[in-house]
Amino acid sequence: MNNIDIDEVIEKYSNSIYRLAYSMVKNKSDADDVYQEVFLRYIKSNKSFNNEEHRKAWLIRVTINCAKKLYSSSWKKNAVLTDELIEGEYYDEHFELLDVVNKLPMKYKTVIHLFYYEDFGIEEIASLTKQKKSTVRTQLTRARKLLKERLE
Amino acid sequence: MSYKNEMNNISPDKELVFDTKRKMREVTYKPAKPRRYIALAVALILLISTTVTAFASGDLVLSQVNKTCEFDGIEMKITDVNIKDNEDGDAGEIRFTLRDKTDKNRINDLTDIDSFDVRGFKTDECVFESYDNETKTASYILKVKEWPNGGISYFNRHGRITVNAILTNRNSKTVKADINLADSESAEDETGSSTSIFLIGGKDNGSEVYNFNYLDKDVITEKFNDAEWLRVKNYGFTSKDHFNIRTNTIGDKSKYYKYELFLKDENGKVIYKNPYSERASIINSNEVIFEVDKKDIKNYTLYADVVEYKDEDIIEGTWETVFHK
Repeated sequence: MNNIDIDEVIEKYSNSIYRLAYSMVKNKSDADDVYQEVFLRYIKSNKSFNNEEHRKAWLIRVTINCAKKLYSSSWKKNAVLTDELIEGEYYDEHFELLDVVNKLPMKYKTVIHLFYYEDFGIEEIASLTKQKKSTVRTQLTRARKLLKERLE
Repeated sequence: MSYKNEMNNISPDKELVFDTKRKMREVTYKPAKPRRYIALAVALILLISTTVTAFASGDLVLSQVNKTCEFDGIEMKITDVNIKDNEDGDAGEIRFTLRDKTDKNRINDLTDIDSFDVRGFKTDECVFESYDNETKTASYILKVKEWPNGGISYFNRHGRITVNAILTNRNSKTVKADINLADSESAEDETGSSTSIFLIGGKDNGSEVYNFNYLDKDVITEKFNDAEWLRVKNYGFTSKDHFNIRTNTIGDKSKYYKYELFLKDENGKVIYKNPYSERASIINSNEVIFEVDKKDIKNYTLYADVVEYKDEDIIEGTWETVFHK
């Protein structure tokens, strides 16, 4: 791993990782923490990847794990999630849809983001989130239904 | 505007990117200490002398043993992998050991695995098995099973155990709450507004984050026997089959606390157990929902598995070993 590798991996995956993290943890400060943790784990792991697809899948998987871990411990410390926490710093009238998605349960936000933003298929999402394909399909359906209700 | 378009407006700050790159370079360019070369040499020697045990049985899918790795003077060794192709997918047990190769004696019969991951498999628990005083080695068992979507094939029929944190000086116990759950009354009128909480139990004994009503008032203070830092502040049904227990912890700020609430039936059988056990410092309050029918609550007693420890009881690092056929 050298300087070029670090610059390359950051350039290629910076936005992807940050947006996935943000979609899961819902606020900028936590997204920053997850983002940095993912890339530090990447460099510490010194992993070799078969191809770029493999590298991306690894980074996404680690992002999901880090965000879940942060979310769980953060929730434990703050049993009552206030509106201030639910609404991220990016919220304003220009982010109406994002705000509605952010208020979905985490499992729904993750599949919505991977499906609509990263353009992953059901099978890939199942693999990344370690769930059955049928579960992912159900989560997507329920998430869409919730979004529709909340946007009406 | 689409979700994608809105999301495209979100990016990490330049400062964050810069700082991340700087930290990554620090990791890369950290000068290796001489002892690392010694550790590497030891690891290489051990690797060369690795014994690969391959069983003739066609059912055994993963079996390689005696793989070792070392971090910060602590050696992890996989001693037994017994994963078979069952009807429900590949499943089995992995045994591994930890040994402190320094004279710090950090591994003993009170050492637990605090954070771990088995890549390629689903696993929920890592249980302490035994400690050999002669070799100063602690043994652990991991029960694993294949992910429903085929984790093994995804990872090329390799498995990998990663331990990220070791908890020394285990101080865990099971404690009982001195409250009669049969007294639970409907609290539907006393609930606060909807919020995200953990749903524990349920049809598949899983746990998910849902939006539910919760009890938002501290009404009582009932301590758990022998764990005075854990208190029940309120309990009751927030709907016909949602039993809510509100807890909080008041403890020593220099310590960490973990607890898992669970219900036992009249025969002592554990009915519902909280699968979450995140490490956290002082926890202000916690709302736990059990999916229990109101008519059944009289049959249950509330217990908690509790652990308390200090910062110095945790050893963080990366102990990672691959196993395959």
